[in-house]
Amino acid sequence: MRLRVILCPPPKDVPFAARMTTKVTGVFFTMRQFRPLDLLHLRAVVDAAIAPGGEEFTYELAAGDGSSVLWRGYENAGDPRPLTRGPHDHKPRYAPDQTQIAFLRGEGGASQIYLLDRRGGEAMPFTRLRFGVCDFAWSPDSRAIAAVTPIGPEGPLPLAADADAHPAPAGAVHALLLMQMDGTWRQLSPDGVDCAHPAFSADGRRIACLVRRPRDPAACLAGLPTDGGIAQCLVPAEFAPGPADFSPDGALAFAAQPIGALAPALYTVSAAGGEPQPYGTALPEGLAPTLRQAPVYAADGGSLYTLLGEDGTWRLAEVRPQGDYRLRTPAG
Amino acid sequence: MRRFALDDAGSRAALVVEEHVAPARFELRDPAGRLQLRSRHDDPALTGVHRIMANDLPLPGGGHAHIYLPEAATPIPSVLLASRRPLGFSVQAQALASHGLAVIAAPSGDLHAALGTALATLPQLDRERFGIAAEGDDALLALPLLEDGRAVAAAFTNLPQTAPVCHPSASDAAGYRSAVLLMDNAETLSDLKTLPARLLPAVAELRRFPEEHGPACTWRPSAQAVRLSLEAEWLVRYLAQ
Repeated sequence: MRLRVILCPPPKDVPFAARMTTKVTGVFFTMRQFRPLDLLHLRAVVDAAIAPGGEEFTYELAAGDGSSVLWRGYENAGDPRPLTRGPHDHKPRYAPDQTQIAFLRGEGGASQIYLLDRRGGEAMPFTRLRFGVCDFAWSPDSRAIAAVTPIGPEGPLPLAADADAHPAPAGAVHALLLMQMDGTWRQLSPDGVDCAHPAFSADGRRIACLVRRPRDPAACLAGLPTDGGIAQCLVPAEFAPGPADFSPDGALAFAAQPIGALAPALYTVSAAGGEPQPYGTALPEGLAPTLRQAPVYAADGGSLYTLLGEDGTWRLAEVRPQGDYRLRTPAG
Repeated sequence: MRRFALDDAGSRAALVVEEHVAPARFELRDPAGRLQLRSRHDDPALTGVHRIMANDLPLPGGGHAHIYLPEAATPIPSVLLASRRPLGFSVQAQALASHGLAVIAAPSGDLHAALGTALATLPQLDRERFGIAAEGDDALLALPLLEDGRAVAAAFTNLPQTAPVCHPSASDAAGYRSAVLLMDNAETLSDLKTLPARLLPAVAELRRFPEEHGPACTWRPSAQAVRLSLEAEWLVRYLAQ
């Protein structure tokens, strides 16, 4: 960048006293055009997690070359610092007992779950699955992780010690596995269906996730017992539910845009299923919750947090069952 | 804003915030929404690089196209500046715009109107700079749907008549939004070829996309078409993120 100072005399109609000196009328920076390789220098935050208690946070910082690392910071302790070395670390999630951070690390064409002790040390692999892990969620007691993994007809395959993971083949479905900290695991999802966006109930006995058949764009919201019981569809696919969150008393909240609805809205459904009920009264026209991220219950279960979109802009909002809502972030 | 996370007591919210022209950043806010902390990851290598502008372009049938233009060395006529406002579009799309692409996003049903309007309007601005040579949709290179449901098409100037043609009508029915990238000149196209090979796996990942997810495209394989589709897929990769 070059600095160029533009000097010019004042207009003649300016009083004499004001024309005694030549004025600096403008300072211009000569800026170059953005070049394709500049994309490699763009770094953007993609995902974030916050520790129980709120004093520590971790976020994923992605670079233009496709690499990503995790950064960690504290509210009152200066700038965040790199936490992991990458090159493909993403989706950090704190264990509820605050001891560890789980994240996905891409290697060999697939991602595996790694665990990092918050007190320090190297991240250690938790999963070694042939086609890696796409998504995961901590159990409330931090003793297990629900992992979404692509599987073929032969089911989930652990990796041999000297083998590399690789991308899932065409036709693979995404199964939900419950993986205990001692290394044992169990498939919870029925065969032949895709699972996505797992979320544990507060008592850890059920996992909600979106379930659909391969190549079927519609997904139902299902509850899967963690003891291996039969999965139950709680919200049918015709309702077009999005990802869900459990309330402290076991109900499920989610955003959905049923057929015929002009915009998404928030709904709840009981743990036993049944007809979904609108959460609160309708939001003002033009204001709608996101379908891409599950709403999150407040700690007391008395309200829901979600992103509300209006005219292409998304803001964090707290929505109460009475229907009133408060936007928690500024516009713009 | 793209994502959020709350601590267990609801005392802090971690946010991934995306603004008009800046890469997405991290923010920590309290329950009242007050900013407590904001990440800074400005790369010195990008100091002094042009930012870009976004504009609304009213369409003949109603609605708007959103146009991202490179920040011009010469003034842009007020017709486009009049309704300028920030839009929640991906920074990658804006970055693409900043190196010579005019990125036009419009409601799917208005795609052709947006393209037609752009073709009619941009030349009035600076036809030489944008080098619009395409006419109608004959030069459209249609690309797969994105995860969030947008369809993307890229129109290259001086595109040979043998280029693949695909109409995004299949996406219209589902209410998808569409975007059109108008590339300014062959020089920019050759610049893209200098990208490091490590970016190309992302392209390979998308190559099978048309068969699985895309609208009913008619792909006419030719060396030129494959080359263009690869480059266009690379653009889409960044537009999609």
